[in-house]
Amino acid sequence: MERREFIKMTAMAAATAAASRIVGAHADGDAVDPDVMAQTRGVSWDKAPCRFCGTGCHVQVGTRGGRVVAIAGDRLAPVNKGLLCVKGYHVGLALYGRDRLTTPLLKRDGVQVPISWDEAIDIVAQRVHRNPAGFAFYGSGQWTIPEGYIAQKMMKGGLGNNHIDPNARLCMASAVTGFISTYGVDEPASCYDDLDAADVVILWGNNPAEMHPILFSRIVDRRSRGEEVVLIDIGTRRTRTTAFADHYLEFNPQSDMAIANGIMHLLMREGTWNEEFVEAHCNFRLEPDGPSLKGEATDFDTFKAHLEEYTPKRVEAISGVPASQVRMLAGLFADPDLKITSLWCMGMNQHTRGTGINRLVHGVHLLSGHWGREGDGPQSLTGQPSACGTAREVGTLAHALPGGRVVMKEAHRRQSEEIWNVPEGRINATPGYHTVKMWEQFSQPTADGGDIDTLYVQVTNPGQSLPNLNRLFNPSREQADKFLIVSDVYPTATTRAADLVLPAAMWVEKNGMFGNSERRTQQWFKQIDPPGQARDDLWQTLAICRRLFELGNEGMKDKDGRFLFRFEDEAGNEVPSWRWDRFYDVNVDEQLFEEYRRFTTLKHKDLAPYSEYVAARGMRWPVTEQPDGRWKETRYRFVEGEDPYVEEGKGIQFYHSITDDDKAMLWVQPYEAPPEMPDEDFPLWLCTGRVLEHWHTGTMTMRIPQLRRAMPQAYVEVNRNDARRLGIRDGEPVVVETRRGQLELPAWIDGRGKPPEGSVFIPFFDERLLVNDLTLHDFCPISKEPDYKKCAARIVPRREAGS
Amino acid sequence: MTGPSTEPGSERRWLQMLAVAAVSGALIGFIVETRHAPEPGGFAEVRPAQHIADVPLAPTQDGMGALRRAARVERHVAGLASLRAQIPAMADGEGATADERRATVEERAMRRAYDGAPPTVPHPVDQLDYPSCVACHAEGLMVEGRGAAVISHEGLTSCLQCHVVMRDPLEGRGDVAPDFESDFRPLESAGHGHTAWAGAPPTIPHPTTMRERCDSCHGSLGEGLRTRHGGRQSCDQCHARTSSLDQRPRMDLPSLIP
Repeated sequence: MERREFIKMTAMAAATAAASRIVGAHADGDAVDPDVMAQTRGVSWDKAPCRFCGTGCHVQVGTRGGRVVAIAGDRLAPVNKGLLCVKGYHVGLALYGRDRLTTPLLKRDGVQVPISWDEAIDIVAQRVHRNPAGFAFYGSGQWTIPEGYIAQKMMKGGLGNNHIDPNARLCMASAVTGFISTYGVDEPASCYDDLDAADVVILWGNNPAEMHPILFSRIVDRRSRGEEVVLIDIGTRRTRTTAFADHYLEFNPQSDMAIANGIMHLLMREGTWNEEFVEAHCNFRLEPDGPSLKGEATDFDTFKAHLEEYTPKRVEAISGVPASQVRMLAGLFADPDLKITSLWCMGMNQHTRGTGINRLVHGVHLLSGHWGREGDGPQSLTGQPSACGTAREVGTLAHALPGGRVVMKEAHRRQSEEIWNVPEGRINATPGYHTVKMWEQFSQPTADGGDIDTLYVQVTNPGQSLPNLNRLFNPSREQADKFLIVSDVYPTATTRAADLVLPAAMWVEKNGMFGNSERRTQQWFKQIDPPGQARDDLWQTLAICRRLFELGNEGMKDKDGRFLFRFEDEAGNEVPSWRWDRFYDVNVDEQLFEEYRRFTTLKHKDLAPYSEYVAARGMRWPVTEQPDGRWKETRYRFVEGEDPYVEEGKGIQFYHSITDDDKAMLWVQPYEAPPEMPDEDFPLWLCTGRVLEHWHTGTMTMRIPQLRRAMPQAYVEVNRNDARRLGIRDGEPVVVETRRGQLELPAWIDGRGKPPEGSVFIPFFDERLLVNDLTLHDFCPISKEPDYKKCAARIVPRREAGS
Repeated sequence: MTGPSTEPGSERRWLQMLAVAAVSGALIGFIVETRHAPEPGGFAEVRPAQHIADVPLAPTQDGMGALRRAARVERHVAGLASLRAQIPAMADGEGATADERRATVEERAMRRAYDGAPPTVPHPVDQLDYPSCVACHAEGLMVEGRGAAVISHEGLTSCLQCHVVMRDPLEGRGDVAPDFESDFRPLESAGHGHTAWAGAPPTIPHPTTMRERCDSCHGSLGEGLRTRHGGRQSCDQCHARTSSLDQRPRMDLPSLIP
């Protein structure tokens, strides 16, 4: 009955809206026929990329009366072709949790009290002005491209401070270092078109049925059209993906390195490697003095000798994968006619040898020549909607500048200073603190050398997502001089601990641009207003910069003494976009993007003008202008006929090779044991990860009833044999302990996933059950990405734990 | 549709139940007791079917690969043919009453975030195994008076990526925090189509993307939304689609009139 009243109310609201808003699709602005209006029920539709993962689906957003009322898959989107996953279909509900943050809050005497925006901006600016070097900016792969760009310019081009790093450090940094050390330049050369063409898809520690459902269904739905595609799941636990797989290879954590070496061993031993491809396109590389991004040159004989020990038998001993299955994999790569796509995500990236395993999987494809054809190549997947577009391309990492530039190189600094029109020498040549280091420096008391005292967090939730929270997040909260500023949309583990909370606009409440896993840059327009006093992250950064400029901060001035950021109307007059009431007078996103575009041609990552993205459902870079004025995207990089930068007659040309001879690197990369392994005291492997229903820390998806009720709490998956041995019943609360912390949560036997005997799995979405109190903060020495996927744990039933 | 259509005698009935239990590789239970007022998510109270271990229809994980997927599904479907035979025939003149219609619209709304959202699943599913949703939903069937609707979109096999069960799989265990309140106001059910004059065939008032099979909602299992002329198969011949709902690309074509 309540429901009926509710429907009546919404229908009335609809009628009002229909009367007041006779404007159709955003882009064309045509008046809409009243008959059509009746049929569309007053709903206007406009495109936007989905807010959640890195797949980069487009949705159609249905709005009415200034509110999102429905979502549809976008049929014109090449990524998802009209389909979405359950998170995507419910993305519009993410805006409407009743506890949205709507006013700035300042902690006074331990209580967060409302303050004005003017006061909030002033507090931040005063702290930064007083100690610019002690300020750090912690951003996100959910930053839009312009949000990341303005933060990047503020820090490196303004304050001369490189302490800016994104949460993407925690999810894809190892993929970046894998690409750079193999090809000399970041980001996948291939694209999702592979999924429609591959004969074999190999998943390296990846569960796309839950994490990238659209890409997964794009693969498996081919079977219902009568196509054959062999799916091979190389994993450490059975998942929904496994249920669709033809082969499941269960390996011991970290031993993926041995499997990849084992495949290469067999290709070498049996002479089935692609000599022609390797001769033409590959060099050999080695780390003689320990982990290093670029290593040193070596030769074929050294490479071959290193592989000798990885016999199928030895690989079986290390990995637990039967020798016959290692031979099966090698047999596939030995067949030049098969098209083989490798996919990976967190399993390979959150790895203390993340760079190493990334190099090895590229190596398997290069050595076998399974590279550069549609359906035939390695492709890494990202977890955040703009980990590629913002973190990687804008380069909001502690060592990077936009467009593939780095702060360590003088020429790169000069180029950036010129584009930004700032004095020579403004950009600091020393890389800033990467994520783990940044939070260590913030946690460390100032007297003991903890030189970060003000930390500004945008669009992410480190109080839940950082590893080993008791070391990296909690300590600063006890120290009076450490000031944490957090911009977010809902109360989170991080906002609750913050000294200053800034309420943010999200998704279609603001203009934005994202870049997905296949180099696809996407654009959307603001479609509704944010609630209360919530404001865009981009505006927040701009307003802080302006306040700093007013305080006389030299860094906020360009070479000519003018404010670092200038926005103009059509007549060329400056618009005070730092004032909230004027922020949407001009398209700030467009103007920042056009400035940023100048960087993108420096390393062949060319982006098209903003207006091209308005019309498209994303375009894959490099996007280059054709003689007829059209802009053309690139599906396959380094491949002649696809990539405009490959010279005629080269076939395949790795034109950013670290050896300057157009070749990719085949790395000597031995298996190395993980830093912490199960032992007598902590006999189980602990793995952490995600579930279909929730996106990362659950801030948004836990507020969507359909998703929350389907998966309202975290749990620990326990193998049936372990449960029997330990006397644990299904659903019974147990305590999981590591050397860093403990957590009580219900055991689930044969649940969503099925870990092998001797290992357990806990998802990290539940803010009440923080598994990151337990995880290890050890990281890959090259990418600095922590390993959330393996540490030693023990488990005790609650009755024994005595709690 | 083929399959035996004898009156369900006790043996027949037992076989049918057995067939359903076999599918419990994916569906733990399907036999519905008296229908209580649906909860949010439209979850009906379900008595788990007796699991019969020696039925060879549902292979275990270890048997994966031995039997091709399609073949497995085919065998399930064959076992369920008799349940399909229970779907009432559709004859002209048996359209839904206004009350039935209202009840159905309300129940549909319980199972969807907004009109057009993928419905939630009103029965338990296996969390991990290959989803055998198609066994029942490929053609639809009736079990003890309860209908399983026909899938309205073809070729999509990762069913659980869109359709979730709005119930805690660990219900009653662990300590679940109270729900967050949501202020989302959904797009309501489309209601009637547009009629040019009294008696004219109404237009289709909703998008037809992913709703390729009209009988999924308007067939004889469609309760309150069932058509009054079920014998007819070619729905679009009388009921026009609404282009503005179908995301068809609009092009700026030059006008032919000067």
